[in-house]
Amino acid sequence: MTTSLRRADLLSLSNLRNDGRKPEEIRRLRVQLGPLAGEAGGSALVEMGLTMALAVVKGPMECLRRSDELPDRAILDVKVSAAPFGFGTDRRVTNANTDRRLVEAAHWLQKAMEATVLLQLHPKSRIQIHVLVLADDGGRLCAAINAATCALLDAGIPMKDFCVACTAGLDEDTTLVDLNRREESSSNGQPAVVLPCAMLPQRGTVVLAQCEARLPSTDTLHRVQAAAMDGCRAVFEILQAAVRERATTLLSARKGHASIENAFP
Amino acid sequence: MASGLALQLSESEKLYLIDGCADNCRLDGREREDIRQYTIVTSSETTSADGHPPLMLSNGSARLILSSSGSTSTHILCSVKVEVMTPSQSQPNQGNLIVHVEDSLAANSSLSRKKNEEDRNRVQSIISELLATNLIDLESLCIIPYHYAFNVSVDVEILSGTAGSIIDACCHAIRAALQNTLLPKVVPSSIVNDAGTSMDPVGSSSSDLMLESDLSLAQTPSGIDNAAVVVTVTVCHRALTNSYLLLLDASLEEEACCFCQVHVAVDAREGTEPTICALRKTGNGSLPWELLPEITALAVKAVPMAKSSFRVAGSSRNNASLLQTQLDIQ
Repeated sequence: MTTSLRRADLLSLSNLRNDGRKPEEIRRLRVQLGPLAGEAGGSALVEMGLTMALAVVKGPMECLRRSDELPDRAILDVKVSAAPFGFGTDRRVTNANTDRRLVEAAHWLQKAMEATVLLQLHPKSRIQIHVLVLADDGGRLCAAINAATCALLDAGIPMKDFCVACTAGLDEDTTLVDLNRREESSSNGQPAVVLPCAMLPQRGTVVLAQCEARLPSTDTLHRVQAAAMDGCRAVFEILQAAVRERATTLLSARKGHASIENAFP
Repeated sequence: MASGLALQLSESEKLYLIDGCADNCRLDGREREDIRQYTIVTSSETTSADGHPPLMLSNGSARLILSSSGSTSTHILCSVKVEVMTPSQSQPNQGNLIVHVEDSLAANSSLSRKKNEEDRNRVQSIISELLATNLIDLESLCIIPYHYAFNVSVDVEILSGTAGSIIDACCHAIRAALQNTLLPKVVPSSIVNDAGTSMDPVGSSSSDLMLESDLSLAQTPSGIDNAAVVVTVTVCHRALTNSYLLLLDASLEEEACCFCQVHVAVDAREGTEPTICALRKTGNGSLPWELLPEITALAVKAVPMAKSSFRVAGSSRNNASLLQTQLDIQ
């Protein structure tokens, strides 16, 4: 008689998660700088696993209303919207202005970026960041933050450091890094522990950390936070390599040694 | 003109452009009836081994890039999502297809919000009116008449529209996405066997339908190869000679100084005469009646060119989408 091992049993035997990753491994991260070549400003497309976010940055430019401008620094005009096919499983059409979660994500993104961009260099101006979530498989806010960072770099706006983001969570006492949608969704009627965290990796400072679930003790919080920061550092390695590669390509194109083709996935 | 990106050109620039068209040499050197080559991406890697479609979580997707003179580009992303629903009472044998076009990245200044709304709705209404009924065979989407049918949602996202010709590009992207869509084979479980449990991940119809997990039985929606193609003919008026010039595949500058545009949906299948499915005129100019046959003849002539003037980046069809991994789990 033959017995067949179910895939879930196989994964739990070797202590792997439901997509085959180890608990401290992040998903495959692909970065593309400047996919929309014709637009003024900068753009970046970031894929964390299957979650895809596209950020477009314009500016620094004039404020729309005189009353908005600040005399000593620039303002950040952030908008996060999702394509109708960019929600979890089914297709939903929502207005980006009224969907509460998207407005909240835009608010967090703005706070994170305000701590990173050198706003004092452009008084009375406005930098517009628009993030479009094309696919959501968990970690939507983090993909948006990473995409916004890369787009700001592509636009040449001066920043203190990269602002990288990654989620961390808890699954029965094992800390997980970079959760996908299945791990983020609540099980057993209790909300899952999800902590999206954004930090400036070279300075080692945390810009954003948010958790809405109940944790057993403060020690657990420290562990999950530490795991999130490790995840952020892993993301930083990849982002930095992508930016360096793009800069080398641009430099050699300017010298005439290479030419830039249309950016492709 | 069809999107909120209308350029402002001075009178002398417009005159220069139109005179060039009269001499059969447009701004980028093309002739009046030349169309630009566009690129369709339906898989991310150039080698067919490891490629996956642009949007893994959708049933089908395609990306279209049209770039002219290197600095401007029209970039369109199209996604097709399929779900099971109850067909309407008036048409119990048919599924449903809706097309939705969105331009989320358009500059959203509050000063011209009303104009942006109008422009966005214009592209959406043109494409859904011209194309929605002429894309695939709706009767093939039916699973069980009166009970279950497929609802296909086609969502187009305009990522960048600076190279003009947005409506034509959306039409090609929709076509490419539908050609790469796989509809899972769904069988009523009463036919299969009574004792079998159904593993239907859709949820609501779990006791009546069974999903075939063999991906080779999944099929593309039928009728897509004979789908209508939209051709936009731009009409420019030359005041000097009081003549009308017809252009194909207009760039943003040409759209800014045109008289009006006519969007024609042509159904050209093998072996039969091409037929015109739908026609829509946009723009402020009043079109002389005698020009209409010329315009439609030009549109019909352009269809074979439009269908073939693209190159595919990456392998054109691959089945390694998420559908496969979902169905492969034990």
